Amino acid sequence: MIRHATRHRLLLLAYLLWVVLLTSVHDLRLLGGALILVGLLSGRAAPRLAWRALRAFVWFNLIVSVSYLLASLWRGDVTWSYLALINLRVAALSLSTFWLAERIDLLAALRFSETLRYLLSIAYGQIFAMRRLLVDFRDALRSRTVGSLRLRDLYRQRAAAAAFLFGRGLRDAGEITLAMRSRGFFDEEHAGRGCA
Amino acid sequence: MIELDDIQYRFARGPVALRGVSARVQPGEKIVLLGANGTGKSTLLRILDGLLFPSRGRYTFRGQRITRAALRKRAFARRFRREVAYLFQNPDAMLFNPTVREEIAFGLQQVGADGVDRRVEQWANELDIAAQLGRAPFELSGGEKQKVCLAALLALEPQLLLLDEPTAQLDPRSTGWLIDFLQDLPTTTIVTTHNLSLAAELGARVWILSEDHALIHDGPLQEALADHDLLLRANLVHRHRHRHGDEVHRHYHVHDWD
Amino acid sequence: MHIPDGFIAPQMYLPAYACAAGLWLHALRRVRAKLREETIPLMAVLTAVVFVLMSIALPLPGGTSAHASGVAILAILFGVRVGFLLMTLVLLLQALILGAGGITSLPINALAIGGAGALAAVGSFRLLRGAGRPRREALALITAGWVSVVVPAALVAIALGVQPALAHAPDGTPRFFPFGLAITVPALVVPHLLVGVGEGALTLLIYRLVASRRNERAGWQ
Repeated sequence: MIRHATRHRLLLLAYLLWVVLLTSVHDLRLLGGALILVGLLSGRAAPRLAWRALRAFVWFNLIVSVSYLLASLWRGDVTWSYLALINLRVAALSLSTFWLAERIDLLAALRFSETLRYLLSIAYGQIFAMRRLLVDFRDALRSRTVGSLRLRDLYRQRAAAAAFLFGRGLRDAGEITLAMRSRGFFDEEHAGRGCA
Repeated sequence: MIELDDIQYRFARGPVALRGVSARVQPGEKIVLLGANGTGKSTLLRILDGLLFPSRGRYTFRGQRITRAALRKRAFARRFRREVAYLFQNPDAMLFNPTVREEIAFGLQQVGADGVDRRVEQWANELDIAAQLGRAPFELSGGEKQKVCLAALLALEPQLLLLDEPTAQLDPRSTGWLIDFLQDLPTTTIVTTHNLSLAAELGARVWILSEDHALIHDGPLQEALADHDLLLRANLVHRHRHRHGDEVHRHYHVHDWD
Repeated sequence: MHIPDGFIAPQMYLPAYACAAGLWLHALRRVRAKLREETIPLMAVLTAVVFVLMSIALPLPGGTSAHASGVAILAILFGVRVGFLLMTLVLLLQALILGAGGITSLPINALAIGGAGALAAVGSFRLLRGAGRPRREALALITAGWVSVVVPAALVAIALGVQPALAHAPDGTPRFFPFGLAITVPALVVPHLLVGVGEGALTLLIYRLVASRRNERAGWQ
């Protein structure tokens, strides 16, 4: 268990150093090489991860690249190397992040802080449950709606969903607390390092 | 009224939720959709309500095939949304207006109905929530919320009413009331439940979804109840040991999670 | 609004991490001082609420939409420190689960949205709220939502806009974000003047609904 945690902590550390490296290097060949390296490391998952990474950054990069291109055409000198640099860098960073997200056991890597671990593991579960609830809210509105809604109704519906989530969250927090107490989480053993 | 032909639904890059479901429904029928948790009951209701679209197969409602494109046409969407109503399992998902009155009026205004105020009063009386018309929906109890949702849907006088586990969050008194109310309602209804003991009260015809998401029974409820293998396969009943004094025996039990 | 990875130079994000880390520790210490049993579950659940809230589209006139931020309502209900810490967690989860935002831009996004946004929201709310006067309170809430979007937008615009001056090749070509302040400030701030109105309206509506379910709110401030 400890070795598992250590491995994932090292993985997180390596990723952070790698990110600093990717933002400190401005040579196109090195960045291109880095991108290929991450692609190779991803193995068979490479196309899937690349697609997800592309979807995450393509719009912002497209806007920046196209406006940069237009602005430099206007000035009359286009620095193609900049366009290559920024897009390669973002692609390499994004692919690395998706690679990490798939590999890392974040809860193990964050073993140094009990608080953070419990926080994240509860939050993870809640996010999935709440996303499902939000789908219900969305579908319920669609089911009763023809065409477009007035802004007022849209805001009322969003606010009702948000307030429901807050209310539900507070209730769940109470129940989770009771469940943790009943399992002895707040007993002395944990209390000391509970918030390290 | 409803024709389902070989409906299959698969979540995006995910598992199959429904497998080859085919059925016909005549106007006025009361259908109970049974299945253990996760068998695709809600998915089927969402397809019937035009919220999800089958990845394969055809869904026809009153002679019109229901597709994403069909529902993009405003005139048709207006008719369809008025004729098909869906009561969500969690009434909170439906309630967002500041008062019960506005909540019931919302759908009517959406479809451009006339006499909105009169209809609101009428359905509030029908569902015994007239005293709550000025209150905020979220202040109400679970049973009252359910009634507000029902009033909001029924005010549209739908042809088809879909109900997703309508008794799941109700106390026994509200459950009794709802069952009586649904039995007297002339509208075609399709009700999901995993509560076998309520099924008989909700309709005579039963659809059973198996755990591999296929429709394994479409027929009278009594037939299904007599077929223990079927119920066991659908994970709707269980067997366990019983002790009566010295005698130990096993017999079937109805699953009753509510 | 938050900045993706790759557009902020290490000259900025490394010091920003140091600065944010100091504030995280400070906020954590203050939250810990009034630690109760339900603190961890409550913060976890609120992280989830805000994470999901941020996926809600904020409808704007003309059929467009922006994403809700939620930092104003969070900070008003639970305090600036909680808002800052939770926003950081949400940004971290967004970076790692959705690939939105990023790990290099995290401290800047956290300081701008979670720090300055929360502070501006709570500050303006306290300043404008008249005790027991619903109109004043409504105005205070809308303003809080508005500043919680506009102030971070301005800060993010500044962070991006100084990149060309901060990190460029010897010949002057940018290495990270290419546009200067003259472009980033209007490009980011102007649309957010409108987005802020939406956020303000949402903040008001949520607050009213949550406040009226007082027993569920079970005071945490």
